[in-house]
Amino acid sequence: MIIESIFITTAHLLTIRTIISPTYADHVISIDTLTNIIILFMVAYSINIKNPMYLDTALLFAMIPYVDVIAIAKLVNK
Amino acid sequence: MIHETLLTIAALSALIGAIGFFRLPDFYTRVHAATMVTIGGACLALTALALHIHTTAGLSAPYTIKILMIIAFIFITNPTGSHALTDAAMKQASGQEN
Repeated sequence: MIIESIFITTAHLLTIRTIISPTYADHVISIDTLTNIIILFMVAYSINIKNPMYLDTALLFAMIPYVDVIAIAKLVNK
Repeated sequence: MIHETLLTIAALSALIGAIGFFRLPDFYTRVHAATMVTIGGACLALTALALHIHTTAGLSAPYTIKILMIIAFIFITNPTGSHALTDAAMKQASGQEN
């Protein structure tokens, strides 16, 4: 109960930080961090309902922001 | 027992990282806080969930294998992504061409 509340608080703090952050790199790194918290929630929900379907979605969710971060980091210094 | 301890350490690490993400003054120090949320928070909690499956929940083996794949992928990709983004931000701040 307390641990879930702490992770949900972390996700809300990262969302607020994404909105008010000053530079582009802060947006990118905070959305990347928020995605990892979302992966944790997906895995916990998949164990809770005893259905392994969401684990594949979580694996894809681990891959997509990496491509985003690398693409933006290459795009900025063009 | 051990997965509850790991979950507690992960939750404290994630909360400290999120507070540091607000409080730290520079982008390069905020990257440190974000990586602390990812590795110390999410990866440690995923390890705790894998141990929980293996010991008490009574679920089958593909759960553990897929969760270990997710942990290994985050461990590989998150430091490389943070390094690439910090390198790009530093090159842009110093006006250096790539």
